[in-house]
Amino acid sequence: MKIGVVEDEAVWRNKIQAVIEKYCKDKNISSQINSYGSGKDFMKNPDADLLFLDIELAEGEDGFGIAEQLMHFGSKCKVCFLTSHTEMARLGYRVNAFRYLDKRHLEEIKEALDFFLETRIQDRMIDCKETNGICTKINLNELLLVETYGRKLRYLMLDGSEHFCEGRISETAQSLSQFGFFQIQRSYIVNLKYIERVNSREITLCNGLKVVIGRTHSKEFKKEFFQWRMRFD
Amino acid sequence: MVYLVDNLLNYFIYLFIIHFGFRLNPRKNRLFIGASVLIMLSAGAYNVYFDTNSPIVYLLWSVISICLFFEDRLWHLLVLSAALMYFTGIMDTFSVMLIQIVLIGRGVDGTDITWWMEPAYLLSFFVYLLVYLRILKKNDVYLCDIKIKYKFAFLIQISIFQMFYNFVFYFFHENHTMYGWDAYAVFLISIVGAIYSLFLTLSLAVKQILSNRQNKELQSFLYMQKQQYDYQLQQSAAIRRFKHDLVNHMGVLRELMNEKKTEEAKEYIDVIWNLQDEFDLKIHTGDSFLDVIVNYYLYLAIKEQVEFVVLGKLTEKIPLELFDITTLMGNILQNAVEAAVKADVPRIRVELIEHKKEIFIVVSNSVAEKVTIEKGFFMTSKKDKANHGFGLKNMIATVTKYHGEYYMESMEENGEALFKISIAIPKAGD
Repeated sequence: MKIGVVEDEAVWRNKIQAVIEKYCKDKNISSQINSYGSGKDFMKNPDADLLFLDIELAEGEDGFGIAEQLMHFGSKCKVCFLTSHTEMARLGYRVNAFRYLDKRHLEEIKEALDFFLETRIQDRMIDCKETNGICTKINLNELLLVETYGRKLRYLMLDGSEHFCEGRISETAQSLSQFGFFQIQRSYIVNLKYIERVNSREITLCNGLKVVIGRTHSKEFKKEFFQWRMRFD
Repeated sequence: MVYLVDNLLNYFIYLFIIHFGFRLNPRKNRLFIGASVLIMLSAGAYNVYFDTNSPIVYLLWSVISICLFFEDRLWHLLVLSAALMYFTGIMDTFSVMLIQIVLIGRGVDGTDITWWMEPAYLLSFFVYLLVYLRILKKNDVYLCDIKIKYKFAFLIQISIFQMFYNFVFYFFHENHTMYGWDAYAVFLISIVGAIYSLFLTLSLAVKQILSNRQNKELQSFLYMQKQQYDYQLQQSAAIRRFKHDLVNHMGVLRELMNEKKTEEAKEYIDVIWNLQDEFDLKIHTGDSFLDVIVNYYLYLAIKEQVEFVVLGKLTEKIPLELFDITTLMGNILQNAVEAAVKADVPRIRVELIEHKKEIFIVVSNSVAEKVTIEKGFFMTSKKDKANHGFGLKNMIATVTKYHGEYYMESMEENGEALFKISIAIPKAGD
């Protein structure tokens, strides 16, 4: 996990870095923390999964401006704005911040990190035994759905590729449920992340595929999808 | 055999009216339920054996069966069962007469239970079902909500109705051959008119309940608004006092600077700084109106020694009208404070989560014990149940108005009972 800290004041920069380092050490998380004194330094190589960004930087630099540039580049980096003036948070209409943190309450960083880690639950590979006997690794982030295909399971990936593996749909649904997947009907497990539209009868996935919601699964699906949207959208 | 069927059908009608009309629940102990059924069947068997329809036996079995079946105060069940027998008796006689007229074109003498009774019960049941679906369920009003004076008035009206239709039936029975279709027309108009007047009375009683309910909602809304307004006034008075003192503070500072007492001046500035910090809103949510509400409940929570934490900030205003923000957040936070105060570790946590299309608001609070769930809905734990429990309903109505979604959970976390409400409101334009 790559974490960036952009803060012009060295005292705050070191304090923030220390809090993050302690968190990662306590939770035994391998991380690479890079600190920058200015937005310009960070933008030379804007590589971070999570960025702690001061709103008011030296030399007239503006944290919101940097976040906008990141958005413009299509970066998937989540931005936590740092400020000692909470009113500033309200100025951030332009960018959708992951968090606004008050420098006077650095303990909020831990909560932000907890939340960030939760959003990355699909950052993992699972092993699947294909019908030809080869063991394949499947990236959950790229997995769109799993469906029964005769006596096999068909894993459909985001790029359209597919894997035919052994296994039972109910067992697979159970093991994937903790990672944001839901068995929406008897023969379909979908990645909640890729649901584009929902109505009372069916869902539409990002590739346009429509799947009917099983009658018995409807209530539970609504709740699970609500939780997913709230935590990870 | 007809006696047994008669008891059984009457029994089901009683259960239907009391459970759905008065919202009383069956006893949890199945022995009581079994005893209730047994008494009803025994009375039927007695009637079959002796080929009789004794009013005393009827009265006894129905009152005892109802008292055994439902969970409520005994005196209440006794009054209810007696009133119900009186009411259903009138309704059943009416149904029998009506069926006789419709099927054979005249009344039949004799009061013995015959096959006429069974379709009559079905007809009565159809009327109860209609009243339940069209008036009670539709308006979320139940017979237990209607004041006793209206219930009494309704029973009296039913008695008048009985006298009236007895007369109409008697008239019809005697004269239908003489007047022919005219008698049918008079009969129809009289009966429809009488039924309509009863429906109208019930609808009026229901409307009165609805209007009382709305008044109470508005009163509670105004009360919340007034509390918040008082809090703002209090803050504003404190600021005015501070502003008034500011001139003196400046004077002191000028003197300290004149005397080159820099350290003392610094200390004095710190004191003033801390003073002004008191007037600052403690929580900034990103929505100025939400700030007013949340900061008021923070003030209440501090007063009641409840830990109050708000996590997350919004980058844009909540896409709700001011009235609805108060209804939504005021009710949720008011309930949260009232419940948390009674808990061992009183605390409230508000989470504001903003995504591209929706805003999520999650409020969890500690409670003294796990919240009761009745028919999938959380019931008020306040003693005066008739006047409470609207808070959550109003909150739901507001969420529904904005096409939002909500979930309520009662849970235990590390041995601590918690109540949690999660709400999703679509952002404007989505």
